[in-house]
Amino acid sequence: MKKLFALLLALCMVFSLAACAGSSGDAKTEDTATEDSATEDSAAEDTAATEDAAASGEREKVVIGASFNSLMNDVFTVSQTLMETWAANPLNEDDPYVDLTILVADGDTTKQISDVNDLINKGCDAILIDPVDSTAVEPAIQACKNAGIPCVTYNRPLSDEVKTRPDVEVRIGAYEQGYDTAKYCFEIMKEDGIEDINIILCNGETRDDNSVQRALGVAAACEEYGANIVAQLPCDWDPTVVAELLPAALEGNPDTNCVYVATDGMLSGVQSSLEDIDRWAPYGDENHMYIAACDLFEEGYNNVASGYIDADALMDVVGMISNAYQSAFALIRGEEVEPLVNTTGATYTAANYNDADMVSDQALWWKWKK
Amino acid sequence: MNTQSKQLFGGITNILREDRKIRVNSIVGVLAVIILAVLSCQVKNFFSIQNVINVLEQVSSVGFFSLGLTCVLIIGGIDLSVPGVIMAASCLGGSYMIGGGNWILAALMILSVGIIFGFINGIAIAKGKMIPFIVTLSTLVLSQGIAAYLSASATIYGLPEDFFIFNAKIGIVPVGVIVFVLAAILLSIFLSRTKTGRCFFMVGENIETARISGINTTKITFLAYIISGVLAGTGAIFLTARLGTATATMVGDTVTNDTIAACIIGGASLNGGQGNIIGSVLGLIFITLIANCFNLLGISYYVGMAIKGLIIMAVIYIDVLRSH
Repeated sequence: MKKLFALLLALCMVFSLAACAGSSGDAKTEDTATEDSATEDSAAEDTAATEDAAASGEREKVVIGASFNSLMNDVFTVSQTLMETWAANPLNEDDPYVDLTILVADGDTTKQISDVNDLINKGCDAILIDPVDSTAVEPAIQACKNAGIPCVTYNRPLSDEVKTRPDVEVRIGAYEQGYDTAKYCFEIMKEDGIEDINIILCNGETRDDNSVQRALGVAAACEEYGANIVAQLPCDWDPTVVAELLPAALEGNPDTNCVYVATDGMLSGVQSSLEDIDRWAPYGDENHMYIAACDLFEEGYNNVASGYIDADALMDVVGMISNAYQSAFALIRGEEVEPLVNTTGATYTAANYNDADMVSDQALWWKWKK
Repeated sequence: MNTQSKQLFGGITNILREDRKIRVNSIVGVLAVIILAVLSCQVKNFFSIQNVINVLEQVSSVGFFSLGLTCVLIIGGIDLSVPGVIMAASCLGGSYMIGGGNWILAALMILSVGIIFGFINGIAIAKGKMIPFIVTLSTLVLSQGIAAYLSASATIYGLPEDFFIFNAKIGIVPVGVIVFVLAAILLSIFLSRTKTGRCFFMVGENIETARISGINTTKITFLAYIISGVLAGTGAIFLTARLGTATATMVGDTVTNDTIAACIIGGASLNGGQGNIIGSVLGLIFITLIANCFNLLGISYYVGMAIKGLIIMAVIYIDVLRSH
């Protein structure tokens, strides 16, 4: 009986701590931005406070909810850091403070719909959604429309079959990423006198349109440069899956001289597969395998610098989150906004990776990692 | 306090002292109410109509799984295959519909897939005497593979408008919630008021004793897995209509853990012989409300994961306390 009571008291303590934990990322927000607002104001009270604050010249505060599809790699964790940082310390002078709530769907479509419904119920002024599924996210967008809450999707684009579109879609130019990284890589190979290009595509997740668009971009570059796609591997953005599938593909296609990696997040799988066959070698080495990658994680940048990766197309995470926030602010203010915002980045090679405009905090988004 | 009240209070106290299971269940129930009361006071809009509907919709999405799992747990088994069965059924029905098939037939196909997998599990476990954990894990992998093959790992979209009748609302209450409640009531009556239903508990308590007593334990075990399959198929119909699509990954990885935890909170045991449908539904509501509160409070993802892990550990401990 005593042990049972001890357990119960421990659970009570845990849940009391949870009840006091408050919003994610809000601790910092509240510390710096609650001189004139209480944490439990309703949305209507926030609006009144906003108007008063605006009249008196102080910053307004808005309530924004963000539904992440997962926190599976640096792109998502840095997105979270950027949102939380700019919630407490607005990027621009006329940006409001943000009472931010982030919910993570863990790759579960059904959970994302529930998360968005919870954000609607919380009384958000705007909702940002990074879709788990480019098509199945439609019920979540519809729920925002029905509630009259502005909705901005970012990162993963919506498929054309989605009838209910959000107020703003912030895209990352995935097709251009795939095309540019393959193009730069093929040009290097042609300059090196390689006529027959045989490439294996390590794609991302098939229900993510970013992956599909990048692969289409790569395919377009292949057609332009006469490269042969010898294998396409559905790797689900997972380096473990790459490590399972790529070795067999390399074994079955011994003439492979180029590998496309849909994201640097899968590089560890590519590296281990190439190391097994002594093909993980820097540019200039006779065993070098030409690699075209996307996203420019920190390890991607370092591998470009050290010659293991020949081209890496940047995913402008900083620009994407900034655009998502600015779109949300504009919608909350009732301003006209472009329904489609495309955020594109440069392609990094050995020739340009160290240029001044290529090493800024805006470009090298992974510098925002905690 | 008058004499009758004193006698009633004394009676309750004696029962709590003497019957460990009732004591544990009472404490769990009181604790759950206290936790939710504390959390709900922190959350604005917790008792709003919209939030209640949201929670009921979330409960019904996986509720059919928990109803079937309760039946299987009562007989001392386990069914890990349901998430995969839901996805395979959904992808089959979805593929058929976008190929021009009739939506009613598609719904029947989805239900049939659930029944077929229930049949496979039942035959292997009841007749083949195979270990339920291994069998249902295998059928989980098999059903996931079928789902991936049928969908080509892409999203199946463009379902006919008529199919969305399964996502309609009667007033403000979704049809799926109503069907779930009806299924829970029917199953509860079956388990508690019919001879066959009561046999489930006897098989779960001690299968040998049940067999010697004249109960057809093979038939009862088989029936439990068929019921689980039927409910998986039913759940697949409503989930597909709710999402408007079918994919090989439409059911999350944590659903199984959440559902088992809900059933055990509700009175079921991993050792078999115990459980009740209403308890499982209340357990599922509790798990869903905890997650709902966390979302509305904006609790950090990492803290939420840690607390969820602690809840599951506590649930396992509750099961141990009941059993010993």
